[in-house]
Amino acid sequence: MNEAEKTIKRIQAQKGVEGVIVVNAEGIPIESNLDHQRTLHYTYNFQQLLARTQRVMKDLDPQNEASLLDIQTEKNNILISTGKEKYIYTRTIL
Amino acid sequence: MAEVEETIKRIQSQKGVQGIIIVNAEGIPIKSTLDNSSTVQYAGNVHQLLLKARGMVRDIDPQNDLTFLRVRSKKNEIMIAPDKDYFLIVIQNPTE
Repeated sequence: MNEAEKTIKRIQAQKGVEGVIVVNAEGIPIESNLDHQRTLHYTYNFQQLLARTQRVMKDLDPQNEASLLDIQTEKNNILISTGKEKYIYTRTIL
Repeated sequence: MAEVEETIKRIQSQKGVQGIIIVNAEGIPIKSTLDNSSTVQYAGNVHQLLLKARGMVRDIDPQNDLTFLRVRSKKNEIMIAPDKDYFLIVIQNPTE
């Protein structure tokens, strides 16, 4: 828990970072600086996308797997990192 | 068409670029620097991913839209640039 908090603080200190969510291995958000509804909405959506991405990567090369998903949109930038705990963070484009 | 060829050459000359695929809106690859079977695999898979990602973005904010997608993995990096009628896939080995 402490590790996650430290990492969140570090990421949040970056310019333009709007939201940081930590999702555990079961897909449950355990830390977030966004309101509850947004946290769940983001987590649900990006869990699915991440799962799909991992399937695609495995399909292309069974020995490979995604480590970072970088989604750029018109308004912001959403980064999702994989690992035991997943970090989702959104950043407005400055 | 010459402009497309030039752009592909330019991208390919970048360090670490392994493959470039241009896919149309239906998910059919129309140009590629990879072999046929890899091309078809990438095009189909990435198309699905692109649609899902775009759907997610719109779901979260209907006024927003996806402009770029990048998947970083252990072995390489896949960059996907969507456009109105086509999307571009570039696979590269990220330089250390």
